[in-house]
Amino acid sequence: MSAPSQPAQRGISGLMNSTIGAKIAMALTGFVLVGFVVQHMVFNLQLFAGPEALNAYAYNLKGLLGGNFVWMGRAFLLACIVLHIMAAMRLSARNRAARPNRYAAGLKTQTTSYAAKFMLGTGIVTLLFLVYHILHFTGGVIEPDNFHILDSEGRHDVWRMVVTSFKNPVVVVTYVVANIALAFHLSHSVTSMFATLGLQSGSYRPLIAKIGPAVATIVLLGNIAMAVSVIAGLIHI
Amino acid sequence: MSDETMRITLHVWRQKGPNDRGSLQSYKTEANPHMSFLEMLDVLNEQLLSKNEDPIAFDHDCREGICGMCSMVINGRPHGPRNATTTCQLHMRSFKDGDEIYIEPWQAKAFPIIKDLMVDRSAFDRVIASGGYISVGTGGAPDANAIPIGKKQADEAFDYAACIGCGACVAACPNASAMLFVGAKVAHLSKFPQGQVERKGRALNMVAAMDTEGFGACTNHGECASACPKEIPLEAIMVLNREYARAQLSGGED
Repeated sequence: MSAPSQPAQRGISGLMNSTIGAKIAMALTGFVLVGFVVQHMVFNLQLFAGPEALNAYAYNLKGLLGGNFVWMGRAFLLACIVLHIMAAMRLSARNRAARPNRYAAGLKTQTTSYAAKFMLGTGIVTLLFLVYHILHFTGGVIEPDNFHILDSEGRHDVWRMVVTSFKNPVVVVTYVVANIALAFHLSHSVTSMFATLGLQSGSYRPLIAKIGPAVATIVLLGNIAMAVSVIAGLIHI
Repeated sequence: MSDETMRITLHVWRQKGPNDRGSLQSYKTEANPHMSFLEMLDVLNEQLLSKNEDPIAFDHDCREGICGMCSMVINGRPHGPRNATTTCQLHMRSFKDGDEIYIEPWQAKAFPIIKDLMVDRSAFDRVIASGGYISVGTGGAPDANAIPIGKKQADEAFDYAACIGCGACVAACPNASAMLFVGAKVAHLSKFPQGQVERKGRALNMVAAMDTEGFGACTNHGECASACPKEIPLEAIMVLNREYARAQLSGGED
């Protein structure tokens, strides 16, 4: 008995050149990104605790490892985003090519959710929002007047910056719409991530199926609570 | 159930050959509710022949739901409206008098259309030939129960072995992916002691063959499992993902 001859490419490079490998790359980078999104939401909820809590948190975070931590984190996240998008482009091009001729009368889908159907669109909206969000609250390009203010301790006044911005209905609508797109993306992708890693099996199946929608709902409610609370007057300067 | 004759309007994909563009053509026909879907097409073809018209080419063989030949998308669903039912086991009683029925071939780059509703599914044969087997030394017949297999393992393997290779999973998938088919084969053989020897090479080779044939990737929509006439569970894909990652990361040597 001899084992069948095996494809030449193995290990990491073999993995990344196959459809399943590209899916695994999407899942692992997606895991990092959703992890970032969840902690970002949780720590930002300190907006409700007032200026002292949020500004101190931001100040301490930027000071970690002599200021290097945030830059290492940003580089790592950027690498994950680039890999995630590269894998998505490769896979979606391949998937389109796999069915060059559509069904004339169409397919009647049985199980496809809206979230699953619009993954590419919600992904693109999320990416565009990410650029806007970084220019807004990280770079201070969009509303520079709100950005360059210090609190009484001489720290960047993150709390005042965010609260002032969310008094603008246009900004609030932008954040709410973007977060709805993100929630749809997460609703399918977090469950899909487990499936791609082969972890959605056996008695865990029903639980894993609910993880995506659960994470999406929590992130959506947490994030929009901040913008909506400001414009509704629950938080004011 | 009524025995009354049903008047049906069919919109059938007609394509003269692999390079023809193809289009939907309409036909009016009558059917008895007891007829199978393929018998209804047989009757229509007799009518077309008697008028010296080209009959509709479609694949069929056993007509008892086990060969996997009868491949057609009926009203937007592979094998038609009934769950866990092949086209040959679908009966006209699943439709109503006056219905309009759309019939199309599987659409996938890896399944080129030969004519009308017939597609070339030899891509599946090449995927199977790449690793969907176990190698057995020849000689005297071994005792039937020489290798004990647990009841649970045997049941699970049998569930995956129920795949008839009809291609409905590919037809239903938004990406024309063959992951459910390949998953069923890999899961079936990896559950058995006899399948262990070639386990890693099988997963690597079958996925490589699947990619080479031009099937798409899985986006976890679940359409394949819902279209499967043999109810292969979506879990086959999770098993394939695991088997493949395991084989790649451990260097792939059996």
